[in-house]
Amino acid sequence: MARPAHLGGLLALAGVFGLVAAALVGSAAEPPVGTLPVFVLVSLSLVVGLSTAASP
Amino acid sequence: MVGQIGPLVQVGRKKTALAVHVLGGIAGGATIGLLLGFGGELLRAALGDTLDTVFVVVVPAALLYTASVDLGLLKVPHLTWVRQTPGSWPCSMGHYPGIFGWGFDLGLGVTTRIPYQSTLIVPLAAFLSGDLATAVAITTTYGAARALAVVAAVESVPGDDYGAACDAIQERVVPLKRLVGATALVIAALIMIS
Repeated sequence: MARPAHLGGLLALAGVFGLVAAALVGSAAEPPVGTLPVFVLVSLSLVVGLSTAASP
Repeated sequence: MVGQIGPLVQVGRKKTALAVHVLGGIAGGATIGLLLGFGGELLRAALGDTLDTVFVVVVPAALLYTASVDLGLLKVPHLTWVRQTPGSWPCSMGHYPGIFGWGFDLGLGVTTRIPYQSTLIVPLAAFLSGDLATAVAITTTYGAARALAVVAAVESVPGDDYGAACDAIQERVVPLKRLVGATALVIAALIMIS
């Protein structure tokens, strides 16, 4: 019964990790390419990474 | 990967093995980010602000291309390699170092088979951003997410039927590819209007 909760927790953890990474770079480092592009590219990394569990 | 790491985590301590795999993914993503970010900084030193223009043109254009391929709109050969993470590593390197190595290798993102063409945007954007912190954020997120996806898949398997889990994931490859393609399309639009 705990498995869906584990799954959701792990996915949430990945999301939080990505958001924190984007926020840190976006606010602290002021990226030359802009905050929004960094945020959306981190989001892309998150989606692509989470979608490749089966790939060796 | 689920089919390989799944049975292995039964041998040692499961949570430790999965945590080591995630650490490997983060380390791999951070390593490639540092390399690409350093290269990008050199490129920025050479091109100056022109690199921002290059970024705004090349990254969305590449996203449109990869999204078209992943969505099945463009029927072209996929850019990929045949190399896979060696299954012998836990034997040759030791249990946990081998699992860490798998995570590291997969976290690099560019050394193994590329399942979605939009994956190629991750290193491209990291390099063309011309900024070390941005590059590390993009690639480390990829490495962590990829490793966490393996953890989620292993955790979701009831019992030890990892082969069935692999089959279930493989059945979802095409929908996942479409999802990645659609995400790439949206991101291309967001970068162009930003």
